[in-house]
Amino acid sequence: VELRAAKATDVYKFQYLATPDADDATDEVERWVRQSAWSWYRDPLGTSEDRRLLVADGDDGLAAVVAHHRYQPGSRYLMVILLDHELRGAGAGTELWEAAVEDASQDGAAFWRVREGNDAALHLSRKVADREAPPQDGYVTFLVDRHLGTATS
Amino acid sequence: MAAARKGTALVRDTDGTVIAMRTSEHVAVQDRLSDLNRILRAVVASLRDPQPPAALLGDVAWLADWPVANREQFVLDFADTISLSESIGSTEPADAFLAAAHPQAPTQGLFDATEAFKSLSDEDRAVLRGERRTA
Repeated sequence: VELRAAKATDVYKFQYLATPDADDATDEVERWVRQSAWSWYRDPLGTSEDRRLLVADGDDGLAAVVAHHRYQPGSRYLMVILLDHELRGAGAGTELWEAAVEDASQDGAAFWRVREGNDAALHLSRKVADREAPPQDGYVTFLVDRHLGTATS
Repeated sequence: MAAARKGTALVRDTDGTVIAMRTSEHVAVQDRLSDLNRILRAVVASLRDPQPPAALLGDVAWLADWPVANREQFVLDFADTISLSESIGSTEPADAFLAAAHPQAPTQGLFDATEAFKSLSDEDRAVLRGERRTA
């Protein structure tokens, strides 16, 4: 999975990332990508979060979308990992999850949430996360710490 | 007629006048591209003014609140999507961009980092703040 920075000319392709009869968890992510991802990325009114919107190209349109932003110096929040529904279930999800977490944790640590009941995302998160928090308000939060194993301070 | 069905055909009247024949779909695309270019020119014109009147921006009046630098970025992005629209003969890239560029409601739920942060242990919050590393 080759992630690259999204361009304005990718935006119309977001509209095709729609799973037929999507469950609530999938629909929540896909709607955000279609409706909010670009304006969030360009951040026209300014939050200084160092927002990143990444995409992966498929044979016919976009294969994936990833969004993350700085939370604190040294940590980033991974908002979205979305794989085109036609590519799910063939190992691409694991590759994408690994690439997304790798990119988001380059500053040191990354964390993200998955809605309870989104079994595929929970499964993939448990494969790549260092830790997970107990569910709260219907979401499970995961964390990756690249400094895991180094001395505490 | 075959050329006209594909897009545009030029034919000559008996007096030599050139007449264009187009499909209605092609005309609709050209009309919409003309609208999109008009919107682009309005945004370009607004770059001279840190606080342009919303009326100048018309269809994209919501851009009036944006700093000049962000409107400049919008112009570059929008121009790219118009170029793509012109090259593929569909206004979908530029129309989708316009819809997606409009500021949306604040991010909530799954997308709210602060809520996610609160659900972590004290130890993990310290990790994310860069204060402590765990073994």
